[in-house]
Amino acid sequence: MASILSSIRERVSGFVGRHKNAVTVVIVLFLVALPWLLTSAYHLRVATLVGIYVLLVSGLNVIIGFTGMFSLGHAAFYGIGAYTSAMLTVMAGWSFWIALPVAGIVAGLFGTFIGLATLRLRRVFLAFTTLGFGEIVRIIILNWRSLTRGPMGISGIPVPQLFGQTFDGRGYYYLALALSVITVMTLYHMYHSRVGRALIAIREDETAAASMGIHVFGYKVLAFTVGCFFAGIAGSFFAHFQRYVSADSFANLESFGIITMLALGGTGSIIGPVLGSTILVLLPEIFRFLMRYRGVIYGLTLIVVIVYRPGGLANVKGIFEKPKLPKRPHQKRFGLFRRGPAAGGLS
Amino acid sequence: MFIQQLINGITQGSLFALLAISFGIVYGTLRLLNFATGSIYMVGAYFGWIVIHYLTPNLFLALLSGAAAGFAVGFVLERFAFRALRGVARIASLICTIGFSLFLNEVMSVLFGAERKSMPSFYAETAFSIQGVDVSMLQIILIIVAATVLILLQILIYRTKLGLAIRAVSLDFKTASLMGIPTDRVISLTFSIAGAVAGIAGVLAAAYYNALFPFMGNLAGLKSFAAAVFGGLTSIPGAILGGYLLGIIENFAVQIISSGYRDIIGFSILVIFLLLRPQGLLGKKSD
Amino acid sequence: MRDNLRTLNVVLVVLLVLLFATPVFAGGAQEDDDSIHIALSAPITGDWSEFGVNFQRSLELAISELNAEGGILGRPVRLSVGDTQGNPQQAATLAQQWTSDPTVVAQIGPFASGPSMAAQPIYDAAEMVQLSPTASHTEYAGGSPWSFGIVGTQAGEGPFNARYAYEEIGIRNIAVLHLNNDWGIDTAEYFSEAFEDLGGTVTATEFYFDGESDFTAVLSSLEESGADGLFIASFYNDGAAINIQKSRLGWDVPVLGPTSLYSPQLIELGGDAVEGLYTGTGFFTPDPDPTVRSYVEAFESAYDAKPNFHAALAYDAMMLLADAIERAGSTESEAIRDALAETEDFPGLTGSITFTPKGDAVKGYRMLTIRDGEFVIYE
Repeated sequence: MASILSSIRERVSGFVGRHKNAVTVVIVLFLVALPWLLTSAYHLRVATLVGIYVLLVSGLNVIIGFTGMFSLGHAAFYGIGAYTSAMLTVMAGWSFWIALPVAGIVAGLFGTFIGLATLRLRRVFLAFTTLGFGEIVRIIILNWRSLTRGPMGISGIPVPQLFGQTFDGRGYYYLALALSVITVMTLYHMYHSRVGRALIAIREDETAAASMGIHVFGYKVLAFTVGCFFAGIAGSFFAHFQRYVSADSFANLESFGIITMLALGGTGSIIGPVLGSTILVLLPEIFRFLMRYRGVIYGLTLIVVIVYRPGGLANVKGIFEKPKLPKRPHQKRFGLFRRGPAAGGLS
Repeated sequence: MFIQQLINGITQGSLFALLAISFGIVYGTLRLLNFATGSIYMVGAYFGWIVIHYLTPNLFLALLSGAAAGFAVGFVLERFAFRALRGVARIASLICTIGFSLFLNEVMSVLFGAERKSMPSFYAETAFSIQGVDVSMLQIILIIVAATVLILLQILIYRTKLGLAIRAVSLDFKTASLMGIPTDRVISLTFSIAGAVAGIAGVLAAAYYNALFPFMGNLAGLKSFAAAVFGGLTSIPGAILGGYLLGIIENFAVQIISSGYRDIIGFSILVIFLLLRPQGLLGKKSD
Repeated sequence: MRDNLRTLNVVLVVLLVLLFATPVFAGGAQEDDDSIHIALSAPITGDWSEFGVNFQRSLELAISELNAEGGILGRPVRLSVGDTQGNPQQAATLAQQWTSDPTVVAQIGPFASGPSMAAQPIYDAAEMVQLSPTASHTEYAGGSPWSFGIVGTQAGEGPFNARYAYEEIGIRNIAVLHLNNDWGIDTAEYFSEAFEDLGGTVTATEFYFDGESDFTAVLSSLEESGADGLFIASFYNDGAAINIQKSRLGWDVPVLGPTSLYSPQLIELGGDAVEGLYTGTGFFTPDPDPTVRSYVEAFESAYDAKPNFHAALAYDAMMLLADAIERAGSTESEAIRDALAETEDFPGLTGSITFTPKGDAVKGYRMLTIRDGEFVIYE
């Protein structure tokens, strides 16, 4: 049984490897045709949400996965983008198409600022600072009523228009698709460029990277800026998609959700964030029938998947596989949670 | 008014300090941010409540029950999840703690209902007054219990063989294991002790606020994280100091500025503080 | 061992694929009967789940009563429940789910204003009635002709409470403490305005965030403002905590609050500390009114719990919707909406309901006080 399954798996991966271009074409066609395959507006909405999270998780991946900086406050930048766009279009009457990049830039600038301020910090303190920043942003949104309307939120956010056409469900889907494809492509090229290699070098060993002549300071700030820029874009899209924003949508729980998607999909790879966001947007929807037990089962699923696949589902070389503590060979483990040999080794 | 806020701050600070310690010992030995700390605190509160509600209205038995529950939860978390994740990068363990936190909150919510449960008042009588400010017996008991737990932990870690083992593991896992220290058992015990401390804090909080609910640990957990970082994370006296300082600062902040900025003040001070002194109050730079 | 691992891998992948395949197939299933399908969006899990679960209980109770009497328009009623987790984005996703289902006639919920506002554009576009039992955001009902709220806005409740505080209880200087959300702000502002119009003074206004459990600091600072009364815009759970901590501080002034404070659990949680508290409400369990009696008894026997104000509002929402469908004589969205808008003095558990042109309910209130651990009507 096992050998049959594994041979199937090998054949599938072999097939994919041989016909890379064909597979890509099929996936692209599928994604483009999706609005016509999904009969229900609900399914289309869920697909659009996946797009938003691809942006968020891919952005966070630049910070955590590429560069190895621990950020726990990504929802804050998402919120900054959403609020910037909402305020610009509702209160200042700007067009969505201008507000979208501006929201990204504003969130990116906040990212630059946080990056600059926290460069000295060790990992765990960086995690804390970003978490604290998330909380601070949320409370400022709630308290600065003259600017953000506080807990009332901003309603009546306009629907984007393109060539005189107002967006419908499909329009939103295609925009989300376009944004996520652009994001994924940009990050793919970044990952495989000089910049990407510099970031990875910093992640693997900061001191070594610096001694190789890599401008650690600059690259770290760059990673923060880029990651937060995409969060801002996602926020702007979300604001115009939902047409109402309030601070509830950008709480710590949201940051935890985004980082969970990243960890589940696999850090440091390009496809990991896409996988993670797809699964974790769909999973709660699928679990709806569980009613009161939804949260219990969801939490349990997270634990089991992470324990079983600690490297994330994409399982590409990333910070996951850098062992921090050695494992003793004779250690007895609980059978179910036995890990593959790849994760062990000496540090 | 000054005295009143100071007493409020110290009482609240005792709870923060206990949670910060729970956070700190796990971080100290495993370098793991345990975001399930707040949920263990909540589970402890529920087990204390069960004793009081169904068996006997005795606060000290409730504390024992809460500690036992916290101990058990800590043990289970370590045995079934974190042990398998040891040696893998921390983000996986971190996500696992978040998953556990969600899981525990929802389980308790399904089992006991999400509504607030009431905890009867204990030792509500006034112990003494300072300048017209009443201090209740419960507040005294709370502070004494917290202090006792903290002192016991200090002794455990710096004066016993187990403590030596814990410190060895936290310093260098590999060498410790080569020296014949049963690292698995030590880590398991550390986790369980941290759980027990959080459980005690939960029962104390439920008794002090006369209420408990499944999501009570969310904000408390976040603040204890803040307190632990404030003190330096790996230092026990630091975490205690951080807890008390956070409690006192928060209470004075409400007095001086506004209640709406209460949480933000705690966090802002910490963020600014971290930027100036990244290793925390009593943390060591080399860590 | 490696093979084992691979098998597990494959099993995991297969399981995931199966999981994702389910909604595609499950989504298409439709019950081909003549029942009237009502949808409920409420926080069934998460921080607000106690309210969501009560919504579900009340609706199930109302529907079983309706069905026992032959349903609506002679057709049976069935309910679908969706979980919002109190999250705006999930409420909107759920709204899309309900509006995509051609059998759903109308939607009740969500619980909080944020989720209701986020879901509104979807109901508006799909032209489906959105009847929230509890959303009180000032822009909610007016935001769409399809949205209705039955809790009543604070524009009506604030002056009622202010008048009682000033004229009946005799408070002249009041301190205000509110929950920092849209509802809390409205409640505090409308109350303060009305109270100052009557000639009273608001000595201090403070607020707190959801999830806070320590109020001693803020109460100490309110006490210092020299108020002889305290108005709290809180739900019953925070209300109980505030009163306990207030009495512990030895601050002895009368406390007054809005309808959200009303819950039998307030007394259970607050004990002696809530003695003498005043709360305006449209619903209370010892009410001798026969419909209230039968609802309270049915709720208690079915769920072994006492209903609170929010649970009663959900029951009212369902009964009002049923009444509107009867009056409309059809399950067409537009007919239901028009019938709802024309509602006049619908006798609800929480008071009679008439809608303003915007779609907010105008309600009557009664003042209760707690005496010897019981809610009694304050004369």
